[in-house]
Amino acid sequence: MDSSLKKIKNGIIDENPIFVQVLGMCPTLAVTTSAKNGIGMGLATLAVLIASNFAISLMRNIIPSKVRIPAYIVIIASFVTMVDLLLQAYMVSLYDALGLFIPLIVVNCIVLGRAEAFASKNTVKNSVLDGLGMGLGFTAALGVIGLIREFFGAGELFGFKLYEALPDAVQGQIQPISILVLAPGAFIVMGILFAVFNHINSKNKAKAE
Amino acid sequence: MREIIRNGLILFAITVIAGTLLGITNEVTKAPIIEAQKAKTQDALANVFENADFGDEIALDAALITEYPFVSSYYEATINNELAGYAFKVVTSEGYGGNIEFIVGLSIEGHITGIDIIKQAETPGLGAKAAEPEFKDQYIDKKTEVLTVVKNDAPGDLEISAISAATITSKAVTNAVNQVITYYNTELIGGVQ
Repeated sequence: MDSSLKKIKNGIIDENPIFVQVLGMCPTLAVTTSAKNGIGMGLATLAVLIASNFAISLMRNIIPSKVRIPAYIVIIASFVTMVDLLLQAYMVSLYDALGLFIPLIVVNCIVLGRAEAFASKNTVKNSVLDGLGMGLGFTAALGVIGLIREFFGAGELFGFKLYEALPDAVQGQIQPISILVLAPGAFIVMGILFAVFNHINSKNKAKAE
Repeated sequence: MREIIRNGLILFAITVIAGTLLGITNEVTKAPIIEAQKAKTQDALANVFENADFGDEIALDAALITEYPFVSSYYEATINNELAGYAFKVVTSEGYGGNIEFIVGLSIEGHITGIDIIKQAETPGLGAKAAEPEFKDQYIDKKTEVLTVVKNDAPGDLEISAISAATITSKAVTNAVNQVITYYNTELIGGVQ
């Protein structure tokens, strides 16, 4: 396999930020009430990850190791604020949906984690690819969690009200499991997905050996 | 000592560059953001009062702000040059996730013409449902009397059915609407008009 493709696959599957590294739990638990919110948050994080990985790997030989963390935070926070302002100005509808969660990307450990673990030691090209892979892995994980919570918790799919479309007789028999949309549901769904993802991953690894 | 100064200077340089870039972004996006917010207010006004023209934004008297802290300003709505009602801009601080900003329309016949949320930061999937028709359309045609929030699916004439698992948001919006109603009843009908 091509090495750049491998880098991206690494972020999505082998080192998936949510299911394998267990990083960035705060937005994962908070925003995944619907598929749209999960994916939107994932894409905003993806943009910041690529930009910050790019800038940090570009400056990796200039930033002294003793002040690297404050330097990374300044860089990341600046990118997040820029994304926030640009969305507010030019993509109002997306900003309305995500609003509060955009500033939260600053404290997302994936962004700082990749800066520290990868971008500060690798070339610009590899860092950008790493950011792309990790961002896609994060987006996919949030999208799946959001999809499951929205479907079983609210009976909706991407905002389309499936449950209300059911005939009344069926509606009397079943109810959406509304706890899944609430905070505890995030833990439940994530726990189950953790187990499934790691089961498949370990099976694949065993097969490879 | 030397190293500390060197590190400090490099960090300083990074913050200066970052600050400059942020300043430029802010300058560039300032006007579009204000435009976008204005457009949103206009949309919200049009949603609560169809086919109406709106006068200039009228700020509340300073003396009344302590009495009606959530009512920030209002617009006169005219249809064919006749006063049809008022649209109030409301900012309530009682929301679960910070301020909720919305427009309430009252007709001079004494009922609510609708509400429309401009800005909110309530929990997605829960309190954020306040912006959906299922909740906000409940206010339409309610009489301009004090409304109460109830937790059932069959609200009475002066009752609003709360969003499930988001009672705080439902109450915040209703309390602010009540303040508008009181303001309208005592200051606008009783006073100026």
